[in-house]
Amino acid sequence: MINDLITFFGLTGFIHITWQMAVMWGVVLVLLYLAVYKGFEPLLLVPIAFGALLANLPTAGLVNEPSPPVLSPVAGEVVEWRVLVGQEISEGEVLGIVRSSDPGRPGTTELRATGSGKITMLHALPMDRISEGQLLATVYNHEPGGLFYYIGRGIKWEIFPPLIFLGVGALTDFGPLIGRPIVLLLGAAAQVGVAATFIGAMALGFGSGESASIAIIGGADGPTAIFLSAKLAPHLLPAIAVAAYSYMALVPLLQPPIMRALTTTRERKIRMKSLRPVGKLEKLCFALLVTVFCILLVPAAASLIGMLMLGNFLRECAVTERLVKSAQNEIINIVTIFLGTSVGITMTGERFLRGETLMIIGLGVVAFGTATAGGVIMAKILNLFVKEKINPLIGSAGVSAVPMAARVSQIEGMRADPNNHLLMHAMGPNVAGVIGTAIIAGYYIATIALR
Amino acid sequence: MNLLVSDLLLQLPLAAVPVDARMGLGEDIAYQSVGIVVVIGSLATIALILVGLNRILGAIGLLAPAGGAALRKLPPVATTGELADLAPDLRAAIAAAVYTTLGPDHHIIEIQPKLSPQMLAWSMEGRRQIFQSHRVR
Repeated sequence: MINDLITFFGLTGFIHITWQMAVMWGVVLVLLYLAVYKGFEPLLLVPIAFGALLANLPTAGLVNEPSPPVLSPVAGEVVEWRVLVGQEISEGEVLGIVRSSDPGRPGTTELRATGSGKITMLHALPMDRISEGQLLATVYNHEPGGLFYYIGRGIKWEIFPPLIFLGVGALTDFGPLIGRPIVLLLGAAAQVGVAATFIGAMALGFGSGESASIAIIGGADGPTAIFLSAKLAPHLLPAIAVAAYSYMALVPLLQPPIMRALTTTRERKIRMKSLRPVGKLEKLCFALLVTVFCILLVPAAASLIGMLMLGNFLRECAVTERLVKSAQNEIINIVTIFLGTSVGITMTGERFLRGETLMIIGLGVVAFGTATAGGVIMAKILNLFVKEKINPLIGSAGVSAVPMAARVSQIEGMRADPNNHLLMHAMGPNVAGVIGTAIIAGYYIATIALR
Repeated sequence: MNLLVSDLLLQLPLAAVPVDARMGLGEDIAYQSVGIVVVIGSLATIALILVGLNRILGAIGLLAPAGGAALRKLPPVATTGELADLAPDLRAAIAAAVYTTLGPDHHIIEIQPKLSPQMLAWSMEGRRQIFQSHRVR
């Protein structure tokens, strides 16, 4: 009986606990505390934290691939195969040896199976030249993949971020933007934070794809950050997603000191003229024109811009009420759960507990700070030329983070003048920031993919 | 010749160079400058398109009427009786609700503060549900 108990204990997950898992439980508790008790972006942080908890437990059948392909970890050549076609393999088994031709990573590397199954084909022979990521062997497994293997396809195949954008579009009123088009420049100027962070990340030794993914945190747009990271730096996705959503929640703390430092009391008291009413036809034309123009400009961002404007068109056309309600509620809520948990499930201790995570979190602050400053400074520059003065406090809303950043502008405006209401004025640059971030993301995807 | 605008942008001198994983600082700045020019240029273009759209719709009379102008067409009505007794903030709230739901061409003639028994029952039911959803201390 004791032997049976010992055998059973060997089958439990307790013996698979590592120190990284224990540290990540602490990270999970911090995230849950911030979300549940401090109200920091709970809709995203709770699923992310719970996903991270699952990722750091010795789970079985949760993330496994159904038929894991064997890919080359290096560029070089195949030295030998230790398996034959038709042979059953188990997870972790050494399948063969490859030799790297990269001077930075010399030597041989073992090819290990990432799942179990039967080898159905070997795609390279010994001494064949291979490139990094090349398919070397196909494995058949009759077992289905894990739950999060399938849910995670939503990020890997870039389905979730555009679906979130559909909901965002259905929830967003672009009226304040159409009513005063000049505020589009505030949303554009906030992207300076993205550019500055890219340069900082490159200086710290990140690659260009990684730097672009880190820099987009400054856009304060979670779905776009996930979209870009999944494309250009999937290994950094967990840290970038957590940093992006954490800083979006911290907008009320991060932005006001910068806004106050860059403006005078007189500027903060500027009262803006009421926005003109914007009709249905103008809003419909706006959705169509932005879709066509932005997709022609940056086709790589077509899925984001297209879905954002589809959601907005559904909202403004006023004849698709059921569809709008679905996009505003059910679709965005369901996708948010899946998106959050899929991001969280990638937060394994081995991937998250690295020095680069700390650097990403540090660069995120730089990104937010410079983006905020960029918007405020652009508003001050515009005031030199325009007749109807712009309160520079609404410039900070150009960082997206809808509608939190606009609310910060309103609060700071009321602090200077209790009767000055900037909320609707700030919504213009706020939604312009969403478009601006999508465009710069498209620019990165289009240009970095050329490497 | 099927060229996209992004293809043309990529032919610009600064962006034409493929982005290396370890570019120099000067190249980083040049690359980012092009990115910022693209973003500001595209959003400025959208702004110009919106201004043009506004002018075109205005010229053909399809623009949304300005609320203020429509309101000025109607002479103000003196508030008397129960309407005058009502608190100004309540009057403003009711007027705003009427303006939003019915449009600018309506005057408030009369306000009946007393609720019918049926309406009272609805409000009591709403109040009961609100209280029920809170923890009793």
